[in-house]
Amino acid sequence: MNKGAHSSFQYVLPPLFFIIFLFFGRYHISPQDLIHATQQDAAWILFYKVRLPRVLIAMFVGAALSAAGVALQGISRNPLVGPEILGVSSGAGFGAACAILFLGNNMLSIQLTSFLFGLLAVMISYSVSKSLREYGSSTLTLILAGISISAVFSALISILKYVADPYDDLPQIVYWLMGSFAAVTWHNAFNTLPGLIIGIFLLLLLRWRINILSLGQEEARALGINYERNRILLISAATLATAAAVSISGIISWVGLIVPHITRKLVGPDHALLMPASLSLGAVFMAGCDTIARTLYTFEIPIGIITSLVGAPLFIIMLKKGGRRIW
Amino acid sequence: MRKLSSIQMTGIVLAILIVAIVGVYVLTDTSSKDDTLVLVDYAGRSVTLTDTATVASGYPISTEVMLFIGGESKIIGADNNCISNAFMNSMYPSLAAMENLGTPWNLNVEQIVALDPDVFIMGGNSTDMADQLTALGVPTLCLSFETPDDFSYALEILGIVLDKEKNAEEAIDYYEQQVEEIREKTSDLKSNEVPDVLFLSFGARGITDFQTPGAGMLQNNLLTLAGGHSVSETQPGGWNAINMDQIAVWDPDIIIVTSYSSSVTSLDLKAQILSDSTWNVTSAKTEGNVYAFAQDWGSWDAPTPKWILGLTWMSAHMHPNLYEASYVENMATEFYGMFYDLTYEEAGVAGD
Repeated sequence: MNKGAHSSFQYVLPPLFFIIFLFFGRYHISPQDLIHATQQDAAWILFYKVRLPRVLIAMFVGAALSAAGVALQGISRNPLVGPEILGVSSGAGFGAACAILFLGNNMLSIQLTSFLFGLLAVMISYSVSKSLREYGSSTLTLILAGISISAVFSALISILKYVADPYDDLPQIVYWLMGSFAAVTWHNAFNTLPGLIIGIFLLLLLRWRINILSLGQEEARALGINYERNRILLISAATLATAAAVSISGIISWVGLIVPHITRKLVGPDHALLMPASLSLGAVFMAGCDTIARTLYTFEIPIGIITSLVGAPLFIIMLKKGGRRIW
Repeated sequence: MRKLSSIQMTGIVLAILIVAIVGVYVLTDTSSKDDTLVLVDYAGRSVTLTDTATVASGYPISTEVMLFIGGESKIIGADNNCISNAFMNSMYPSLAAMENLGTPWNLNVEQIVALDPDVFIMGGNSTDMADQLTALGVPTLCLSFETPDDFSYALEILGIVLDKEKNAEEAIDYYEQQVEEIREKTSDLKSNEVPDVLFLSFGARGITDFQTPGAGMLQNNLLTLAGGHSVSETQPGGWNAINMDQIAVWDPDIIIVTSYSSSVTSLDLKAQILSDSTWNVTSAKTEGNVYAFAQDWGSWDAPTPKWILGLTWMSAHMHPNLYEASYVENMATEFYGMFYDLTYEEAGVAGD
C-alpha cells in the first residue's frame, strides 16, 4: 500500500466505521427512524444515550491500547511486549478490585484506583529494572521486572478474589477482569476521555522518537537524544493511555499486542506511520469486536472472548500473508 | 519343634476364644446395618450414612435451610456466607461456634475431612468433590433448591439427616398449600393477562450493567408459577449480562429489580431506574410498573426458605386485582412468626 493510500485510509476508516457501528444493535434503528424520532422515542434514546458513548469509548480504548503497544514494542525492540507486560493491566485490575471491595464500589473510585495502581505498577517495574541493570540490557531488565510485577499484582488480585463476598463483590471483580463496555455512559465516558486523549496525543507526538530509541541506547545517544528521558516519557504516556482504558473497560488483553503487529505488516516499521495507522486500526478493531459482543446474542459476550477469537486468526493470516520481515 | 508349656497353650486357647467370641459378635451384630441409612441426593447418587450426629454444609442455601428446620444443634461446620451474616447470627447464635468452611468455590477437602462430620451437604452440581469426600470417609449429599419440587425434596432429605422430619414436613405442607392457593388464583388468567416481566439483578458493574436469570433459574420458575412470563427465560442458564438494546426489544410490561449486594438495596436500584431517562425505552417505566423486590436479610427471590414469600409477592404485584392490598404482608407476618419467631418489623422487610 502506498503512503498516500494508507494515510487516507487511516483518517477515513474510524469515522466511517463509527457511523456504521452505531446502526448495529439488538434493537433495529434505521437512519429514517432516527430522522423522524423525538427525544422520547426508543430509537433516539438508544442511539444517543446508549450506543454513542459506548462506540466512542470502545474506539478510544482500542486506539489507546494499540498506541501503547506500538510504543512499548518499539522502545523495547521486542515483538512480544504489550501493555500487559509492564504490569499496567494487572496493576489497574488490582486497583479496581480494591475499589470494589474497600472503597464503596462506585465507578469513580474504581476508575481512580485502577488508574493509580496501573501507574504504581509501572513505577515499581521501572525502579526494579534500574536496580537490575548489571544483569543485562535496560530493555531486557525492564521486561523481566514488568513480568515479575505483573505476576505479583495478579497474585494480589487472586487474594482479593479469594476473600471477596461470592454473592456481592466476587462477580463484579471477575466481570471487571474479563473486560466489557456494557457499563459505559456519557457520565463515566467524560471522566475517562481526558486520560485517554492525553495518553494518545502524547504517544502521537512522541512517535518520531520511537524510531530513534528503537535503534538502541548507543545509537540514540550518538544522535544526541537523551535515551533515558525519552524512554521514561514514552513509558509514562503508554501507561496513562492503558490505565485510562482499563479504568473504564476492565482488562482487555490481546489488542495491544496484535494490532501493532498487523499494522506493521500493512505500513512497515516506521513509527511515524505505524502509530497513527495503529490508532485507526485499533479503534475500528475494538469497536467492531464490541459491536459483535453486544449484538450477536440476547446477552452480552465478554469482549475479551471476541478480541481473542477474532484477533488470533486475523493475526495468523496476516503473519502468513506478509512477505517482508520487519523485526 | 519345641513343646509349648501349659501356660502358653492356655494363652493361645484364650486368645482364639476371644477372637472367636468377638468375631461371632461382630458378624451377628445387625444393629449397625439397621442403623445404616441410604439416601438418594439431587444428582441421583446413593449415599450410605452410618451416623448423622454431626452435619456440615458448604453451601449457603443448604445451611440456611438446615437452620430453618431447627437442625442447629447438629451442625458443626458451615459456609462463610451464613457465618458472616450478622442478622443470621442474631437468630442462630451457634453459628459463631461453627467451623467456617469458606465459600462453595473455595472449599478445602482436607479441612472437611479433618472436621469429620457424619454428613456433608453441598450444592446440586458439586458431584466430583462430593464423590471425592465420600471416598475419603465423609458421606456427602448434593442438593438443589432451584425449583419448588427440588426444594421440597431437599427439605425432606435434610429433615431425615437432622432428625427434624416433622419440621420439614410442616414446611413442605405450608409451601404446597400456598402454591396451590396461588395456582387457583392465577389458573383462569387469559394469555393477554399474563404480563411480560423483566427480572433484573444488580449488575456486576452497576445499574448500567444488568443481569437477568436464564433457563432453569428459580426466579423464572417463580414468575411462571405466579402468573407471569419472564422475557429472559430462554437465555442460557445462570445469570446473563444484557444491554439496553435488548431490553428495548423485549419491552417488558413489568420490571422487577433485586439486589444481592449488601451495599445497594432493591429500592436504590429502582430509584436509579426511575431517575434515568434511558429506561424510558420500556413500557414498564413509562406506565409506572417498576418494582423493587422485597428483601429482609436476603432477597425473597433467592432459593432460600423465603422463596414462597417471593412467589406470593410476584403474583400480587403482577395481578393486584386477585389479591387484597395487605395479602403479602399478612402472609409474611404469619411465615416469620411460624418459622423464625420474628415479627414482620423485626425481619426488616424493605422493598415495594
